[in-house]
Amino acid sequence: MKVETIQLEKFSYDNKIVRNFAVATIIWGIVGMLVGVIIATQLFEPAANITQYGSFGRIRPLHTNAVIFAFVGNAIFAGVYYSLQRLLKARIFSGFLSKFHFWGWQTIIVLAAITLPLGITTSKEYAELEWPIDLLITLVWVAFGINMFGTIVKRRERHLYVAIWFYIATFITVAVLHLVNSFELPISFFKSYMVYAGVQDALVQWWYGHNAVAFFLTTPYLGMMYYFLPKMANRPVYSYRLSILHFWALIFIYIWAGPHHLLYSTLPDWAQSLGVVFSIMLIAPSWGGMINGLLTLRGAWDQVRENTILKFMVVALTGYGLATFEGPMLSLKNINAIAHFTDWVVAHVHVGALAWNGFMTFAILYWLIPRMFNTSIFSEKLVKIHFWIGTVGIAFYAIPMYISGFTQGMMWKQFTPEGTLQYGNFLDTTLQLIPMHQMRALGGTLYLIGAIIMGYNLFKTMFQGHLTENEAVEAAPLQNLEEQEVKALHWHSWLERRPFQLLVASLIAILIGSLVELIPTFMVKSNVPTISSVQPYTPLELEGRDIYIREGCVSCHSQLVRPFRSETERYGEFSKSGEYVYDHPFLWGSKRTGPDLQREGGKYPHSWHFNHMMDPSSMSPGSIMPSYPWLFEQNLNTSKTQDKISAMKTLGVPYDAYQIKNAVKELNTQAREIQAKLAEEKIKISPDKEIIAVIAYLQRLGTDIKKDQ
Amino acid sequence: MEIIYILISISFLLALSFLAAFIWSVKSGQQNDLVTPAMRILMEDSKPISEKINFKYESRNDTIRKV
Amino acid sequence: MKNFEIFEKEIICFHCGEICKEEPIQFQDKNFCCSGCEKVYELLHDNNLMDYYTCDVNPGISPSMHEFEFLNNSKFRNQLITFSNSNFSKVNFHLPNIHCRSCLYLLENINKINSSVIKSQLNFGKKELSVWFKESELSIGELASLLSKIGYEPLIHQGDELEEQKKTFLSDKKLVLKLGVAGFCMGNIMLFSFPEYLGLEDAGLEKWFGFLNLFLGSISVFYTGSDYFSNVWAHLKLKKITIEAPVLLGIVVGYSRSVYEIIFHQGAGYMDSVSGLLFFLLIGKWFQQKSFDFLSFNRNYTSYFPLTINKIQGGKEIQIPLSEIKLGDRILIRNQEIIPADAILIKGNCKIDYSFVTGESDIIEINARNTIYAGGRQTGELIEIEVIKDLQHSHLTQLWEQDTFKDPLFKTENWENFANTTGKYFTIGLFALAVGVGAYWGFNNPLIWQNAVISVLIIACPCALAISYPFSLGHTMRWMSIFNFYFKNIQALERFSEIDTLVFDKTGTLTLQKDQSPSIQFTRGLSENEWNQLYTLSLQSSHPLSRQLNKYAIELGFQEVLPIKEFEEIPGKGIQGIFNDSLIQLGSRKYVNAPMTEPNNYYQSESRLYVKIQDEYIGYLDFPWQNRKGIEPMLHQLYQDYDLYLLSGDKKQHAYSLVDWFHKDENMLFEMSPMDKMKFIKKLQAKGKKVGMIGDGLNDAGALKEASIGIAISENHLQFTPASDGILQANQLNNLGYYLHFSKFAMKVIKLSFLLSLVYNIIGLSYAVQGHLSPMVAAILMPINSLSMLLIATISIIWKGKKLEKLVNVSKSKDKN
Repeated sequence: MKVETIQLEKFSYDNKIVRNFAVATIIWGIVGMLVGVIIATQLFEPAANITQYGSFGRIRPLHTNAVIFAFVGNAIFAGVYYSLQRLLKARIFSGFLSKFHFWGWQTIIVLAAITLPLGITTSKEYAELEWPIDLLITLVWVAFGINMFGTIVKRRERHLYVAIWFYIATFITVAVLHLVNSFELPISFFKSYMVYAGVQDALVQWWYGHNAVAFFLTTPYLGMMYYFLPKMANRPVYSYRLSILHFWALIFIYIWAGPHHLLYSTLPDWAQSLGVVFSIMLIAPSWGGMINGLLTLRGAWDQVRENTILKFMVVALTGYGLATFEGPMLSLKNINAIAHFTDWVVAHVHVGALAWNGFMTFAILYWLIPRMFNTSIFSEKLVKIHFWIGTVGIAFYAIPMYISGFTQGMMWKQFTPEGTLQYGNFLDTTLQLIPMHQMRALGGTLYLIGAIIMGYNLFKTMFQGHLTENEAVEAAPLQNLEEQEVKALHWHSWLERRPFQLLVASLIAILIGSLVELIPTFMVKSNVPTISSVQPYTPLELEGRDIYIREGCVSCHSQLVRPFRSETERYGEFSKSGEYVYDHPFLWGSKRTGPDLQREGGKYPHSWHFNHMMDPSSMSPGSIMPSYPWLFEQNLNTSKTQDKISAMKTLGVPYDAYQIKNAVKELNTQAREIQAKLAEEKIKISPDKEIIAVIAYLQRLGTDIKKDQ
Repeated sequence: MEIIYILISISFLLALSFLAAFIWSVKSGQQNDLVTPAMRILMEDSKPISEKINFKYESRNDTIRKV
Repeated sequence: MKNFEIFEKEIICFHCGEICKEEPIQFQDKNFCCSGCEKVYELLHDNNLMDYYTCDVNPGISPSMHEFEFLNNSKFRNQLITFSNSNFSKVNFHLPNIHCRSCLYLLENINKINSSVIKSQLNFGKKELSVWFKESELSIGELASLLSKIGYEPLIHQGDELEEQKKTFLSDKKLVLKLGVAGFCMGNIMLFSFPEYLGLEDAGLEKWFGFLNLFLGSISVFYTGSDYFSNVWAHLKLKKITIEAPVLLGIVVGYSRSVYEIIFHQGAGYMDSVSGLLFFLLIGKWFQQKSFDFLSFNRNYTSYFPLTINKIQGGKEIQIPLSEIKLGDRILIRNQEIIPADAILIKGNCKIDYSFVTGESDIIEINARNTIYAGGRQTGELIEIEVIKDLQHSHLTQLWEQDTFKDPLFKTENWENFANTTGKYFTIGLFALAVGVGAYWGFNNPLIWQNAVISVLIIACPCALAISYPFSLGHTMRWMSIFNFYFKNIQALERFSEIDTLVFDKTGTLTLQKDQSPSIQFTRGLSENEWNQLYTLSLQSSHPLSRQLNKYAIELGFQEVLPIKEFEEIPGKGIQGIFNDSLIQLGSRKYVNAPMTEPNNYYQSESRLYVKIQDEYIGYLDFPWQNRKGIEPMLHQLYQDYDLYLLSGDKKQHAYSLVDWFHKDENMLFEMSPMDKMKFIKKLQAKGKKVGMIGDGLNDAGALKEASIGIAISENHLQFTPASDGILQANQLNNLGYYLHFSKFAMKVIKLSFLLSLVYNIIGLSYAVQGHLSPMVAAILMPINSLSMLLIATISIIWKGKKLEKLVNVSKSKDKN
């Protein structure tokens, strides 16, 4: 009964999963922004660091993870699951996988929210989560992939709308990025060491970091923009051709721009310049997208005037335009020299996040939820309020941060006529910024309030309406029409399709193959120290380093002295790549809220560090650094020390068997030495406290090359 | 900097797979019509109707009557 | 539209938005202009497809009553059905009426109207609808009728046209593919070449990048550049050197040099330059390959004739395809139908309008047993005729037996053009230089002579020309299409820019096809006597308006000449005369000092004749334009720098309105048969003139084909136009001068940018001849060169186009892309 198969097929769209992700988006969004406001406050009011679990270093990654993976992530899934079904005229592939995807993703978020404050982190930005969670992420992502491609396969619409291309690119690239940047060697369930070391780790990290921004915060949103904006304005996208064109251009160029995060680092010059060139080239496709979006609204500005949802979209697109113009500018070496490590970068990121991601998410939610719940928005007025409060919030956030970033960047480089640093004391620059940081916190708060209003408004809307869990529709089957044609007409066209699938499959195979094959080889090679005097960390220093990682010191202190007079003057000898060969992971950092620590070793006596960690303001009055009393109470856990050392050996760090065997012994000896030194300075502390390890590490930092002279 | 080998090969392979996707999209006629799809997405999905009236066009007299 | 209607309140049809002429039909308190529209509304309403009316305002088209039974005839059916099996069939229809989103909505929901339709998919750009349907339940004829019932009448194409479309479509696809690959290769080669320039110290990487470049470079040369190899080869076989030859030479030398360098680790080679060049060249190719899906430039007479005819067999009427027509067939022809073949009239009152085929504008009355020629259009009642010649040998169609139509290479791309001629000399010069340089170094420093020669060959390639040519012409072509002036290809556009002689057809081109009766605004009706007086008075003057009034009076049946006294003609004002002492004045408003009838600013049409009898203002007659609006200034302007000719199948007296504009009498030829026109053009071109022919009808087909460039005038896209190199929308004819100027400008741009590129080349050569051309220099010079060519062309043409847009009032055509 073939004839039957050609009848219109009745099927339905799964709105429930969309609803779930939407709700998750709202909740996590508010949470993430709240944490944001808290850490913003901590940056001018150290007292806001409550207990070790609420200290800046630990909850800053919580903020980034919450907004990127919880808020934006859930928003993406909501948007994709809604538009994908409709664009392909097919119900989502597997209801089970959808559920698994949803609950899996929420579990990941909850785990992140637990582990990060506990200080369980890899310290790699946007990839802080430890290896068990990484595995879970991989699993959930695969489920998402199967669901997406499954739906594509059983679609009833032949043409893949441009949005879907963006989704596909997102899936594939993020998968690869996540895999490559998660090569960790577990020591325990909660601790692992990065396989890559130093410069190499840095390169991988920023190849990842950059492309995460590209393919998690940009491409999926462009995809959603191309679906939802036309729907909202009820007019086709300005130029579909352009959309296709700039899609291909964007994904081909984006991948190469990563190195611009490491300008003036010890990365080879040509690699840096490469990053710069491609970053500049990125302007074209990025603006292609923005212009296409804005021009879609041409002749509809009257609509924009009364339709707040469109207003959100306009701000989102404008933000995208600004950010994608600023990005390449920031990658110009001379601008980067000033902006890098300052609040400028923070401002840049937040223009993108608050306007582009945030506002588009809001617009989509406002559009989506009333539709799925067969009702109209609970309060049009509150939407308007949200828009204005949010916009003002963005302004209050961005402007002060730009000023702050520029000011600090300039102050660092300021020399007196006599040729000494004008602001030799780093703290001078920090104090300058306090008012700006206060304003920033205010901006953030406004934005948060907006989000809360939205939450109230949308939940009210959900309660007043009722969700059509399965939206019944009908469409002609594509498959058997096509198939029967294809079979009969151009029998060769199956040839056309097979190679494609084969190619992709083989590519993925090659990809994995090359990884498996290459990693060991280069690991061995790359760890031949290039500077003879650079030695592995002692067990105590290594433990200290792990505490440094746990407390997230890296989020305020860089360990990379760039080759500028202003920096060598301030910190000392500029960094060499050979110094990092034993750093699993690298700790260069990306922001200097406090001074660089690359040459910290030996600068101050042990006692200074002791007091400073106990109460920073005692050593440097007005410092915004929180105090770390718990380091003085908690005993250093040496149960894993031996494993750590041997793990490092596996990664190619030259420890010998003896060192491994006597790791703990060695540790205690060094601890006692430090205790003794402190005692000389009238400070009593038992040698098994964590602070000892921290001091050991800090005093070691960047000292090796001095031994040469 | 052996890591660069890996990163570049991975990125290059990624790019290649995207190229493959592009070639497929052209060959399989994805790019044939770059006007209509933009408009098509604006059409609301057709909800199934319980009783369908079937029209047949009677030639030679310009009425369209139900059958 | 009559001008006093402006003030009337109009009733708009809810479905199609037309003004309801007679009493509107009411349904659900909505107005409809005709039962058709109302029926469609009812239909959509019953099938809850009411969204149709929400996508756009009054989107509908008033449906046609056209019959499509004939499609069921296997001949058509098999041609149209693209696929069929036991379950369903697939057919593609061209629906010219498609214009908005509502159309899309309705046409992709036909399955709601008729359940035998499984699925329908629209290609908006091509205005093509693919329908999957169950042929067992719904015949293709019924489907077509259903479509025209809802307002989308399919335009059925002939086999050859379909083929043509298919070909262009496939080649486009190929090009897009190559373009993508070329872009990819270029991008990545650039990427892998950068390290070299930026001082890459790592030898391993260098080697590795080298091989990646080799891989990508080979793809871009041998895959994306394959056309160049085949074309150059094809031309060489014809002993021709086109612009592509030196380009290819540069590419090949550059490539092979790079291969050598990479394999023997001499350096990074020139892969980036080569692939970059290829990419730009392909963009150019893609850019010039602009086909207007909704137009066909190759229609021959067959697509003018009806697809089917109504034959009488055994006393009753049956529909048969045109091709199946046989001698002696008895055929029925209805009003406005076309005579399919030479025949004799059997019965019926036969008035034939030959204007389209012969240019003869008068309607000819035929008596029984007399011959009617194929292509004539019957006006009036139904007639019965008997076929005496089959189509191929009919009087009119003999024209197509000329070898001009037979020669496949006639006016193809091989036509000599600026690029190719230049290309030839360029190649020769290049070789000379290469040899010279080679010889010089051969004597002075044998070590580097290869280097020098190779460098010369690589750097000195006329890529600039190869790029600016398609771009400036391509851009111009696009702009012209915005002005509703469509060119077949850029070669046609180039030829258009070169013409020095313009030949116009009269009827339908300069003058309008039909002259309708004037609209009369009289304060009172005139007596028979007064009409005869007007007739007599108008006889006295040769002024076009008097002649028209005269003609009109005859139509009304007043042609009695009355005694007239004191006739007087005041040139440019009017005429007057006295009939038994009543003074009658005809002329301009001032002349009869008539009261203002419209608001002051109202445009005073020249075609208005005011009447005054015995100081009593009667009113005026508004004659429709005889000449196309604004052609007089156009001809006047063109007269400065072109020889103008008028060819007409008509008698001379019909051209009174044009005499003043063609100055010399020998430039106006009348009663020319289609063949004569063609011969005339031949003669002109034999004299070495570059002729542009502008015509509209089949009677011009020969001339259009023969002329260096033939431009067909059409009222709209749907109207049949004979084979031509360009199609110009009638209301734009008056801007012909501007367009000629525009095309000339485009060629200027090309020549200038060519000069500029020579400068680049000289810079490059100055390195090259010394034998050390670093890949860096090449890599910088070549893209800059190509890119600047691209930009110059684009910017200057856009600038010119925008300027032109202000000058000509354009009614932007709906179909973009």
